[in-house]
Amino acid sequence: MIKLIFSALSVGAVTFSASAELQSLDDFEMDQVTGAGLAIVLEDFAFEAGQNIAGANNNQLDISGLQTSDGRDVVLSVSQFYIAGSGSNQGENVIGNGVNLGRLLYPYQINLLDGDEIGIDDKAVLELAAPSRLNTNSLLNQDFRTRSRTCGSGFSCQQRSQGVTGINLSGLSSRSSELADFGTRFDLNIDGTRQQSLETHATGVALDGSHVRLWGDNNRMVGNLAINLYADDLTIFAANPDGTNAGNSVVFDDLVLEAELGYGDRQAVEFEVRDDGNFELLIGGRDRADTCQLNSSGNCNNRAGFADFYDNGPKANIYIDDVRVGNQSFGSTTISNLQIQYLKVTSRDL
Amino acid sequence: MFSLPATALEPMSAEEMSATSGQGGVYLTGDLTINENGGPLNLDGPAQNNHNWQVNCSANNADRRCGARLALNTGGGRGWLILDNIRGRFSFEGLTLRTRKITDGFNGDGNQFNEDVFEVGLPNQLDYEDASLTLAGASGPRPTDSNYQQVDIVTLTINGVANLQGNALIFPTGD
Repeated sequence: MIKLIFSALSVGAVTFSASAELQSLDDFEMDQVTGAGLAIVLEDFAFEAGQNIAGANNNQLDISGLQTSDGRDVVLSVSQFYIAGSGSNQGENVIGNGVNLGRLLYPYQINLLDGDEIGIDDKAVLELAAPSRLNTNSLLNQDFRTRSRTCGSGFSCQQRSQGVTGINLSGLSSRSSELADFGTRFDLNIDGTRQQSLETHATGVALDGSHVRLWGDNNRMVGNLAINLYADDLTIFAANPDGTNAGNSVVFDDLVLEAELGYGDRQAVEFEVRDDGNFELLIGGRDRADTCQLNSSGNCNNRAGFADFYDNGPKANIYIDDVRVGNQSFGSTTISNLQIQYLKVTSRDL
Repeated sequence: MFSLPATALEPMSAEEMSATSGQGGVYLTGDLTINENGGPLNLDGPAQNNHNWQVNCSANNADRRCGARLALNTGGGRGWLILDNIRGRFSFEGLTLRTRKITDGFNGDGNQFNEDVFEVGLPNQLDYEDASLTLAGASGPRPTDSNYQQVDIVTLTINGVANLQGNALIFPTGD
């Protein structure tokens, strides 16, 4: 035993002498090194979990904690949750049909950012980001008209969207072969009885331009959230628990969701747990000084902050090129340039 | 014991070191079991507060406070975000680690990228056994705190296998 310990010590000594080959960096070399963050690309990736996947034996993937309005327990028994490349055929073709999520030149990232550069003064900001977009334009081509009613009275002339004339995917960094299919099939299980199966399948999905930014403010964690989703189509339908007798599909063709929550530190998003254990999500101008520059008597001095918010603040767009139910087409649906001044969401225990 | 000759290892010169690259990689097998039978507080925890620390953590028991627990304060000394009931077994075989230089492929990106990446080869299968996790909000960090209230939002229970394929490529960003 003494011999063994001794040999371990000599290995340690050899390793130590090898480390002497490390050399110091000069100032120029140091300048080339930036520890900005970590990039992640998933190569040829596919994933599936749930009760009815290939190779499963007594599989279970349950989400519980929900109740019906009359107090009966509801369990969502997931038959399949999958992420795959295009042509997944609603989850039939997953393993062996991988997709690259993120590009080497436009990867998923975990970054530590200097807040001064993104409108969050004097803060270090943690960012979790999907692949970036190639430009800051919306994917929607909108027909803007000047809205004369809002000119003057402290506000610049506003542009109002008359409608969406098309979708422009050139802003996505993900190319068509890098768009993913994903979906989920789950059974509603009420009081232990399988009632109904609900299926949701999306094809050609890109999350380019989405991010979560988090920072600390007065011992609270606050953030900004950008959700940018594009899907070639999103299909939802219900069926019997065994997958038979499927009803009409509801299909959203060319779905674009562009939503930003929060505007730098001028409108941070707060997520809190209240002292009774319930959740609270707050988006709002908590501090009037941020938006209207208070004068000495505490009143709004001018509307510069508001004008900035309306001109440059976050806007949300939701666009669906065609909504179809069965064989019926209901045409396109648009919500554009929606701005959230104040939103408070609170959970309640029933 | 004497079959381990320490003198067989010899130091390498700087030239030899620079000609050596550890590209063989590593093959990992993992098996993690968390609180299969509940933690120590289940054995000696107090019975007040509606048995928030439970005594019986067997698989078919409806008790909800077994396993590991993580309480996070989201700020301002108000409520707590709770990850509760963390338990079960998680295992995999065949996770590989290696470095890889990418100079081509990736639909034209590889040539332009021309860098080393750290490649995590994902295992083909993840195995779960009675794995669970509850997301909740609470008035305090511990169920034994006075006037403790906890609101369970959602509970995830996983058994069996999940299938996956692919590599995670990890590299530093510089801008």
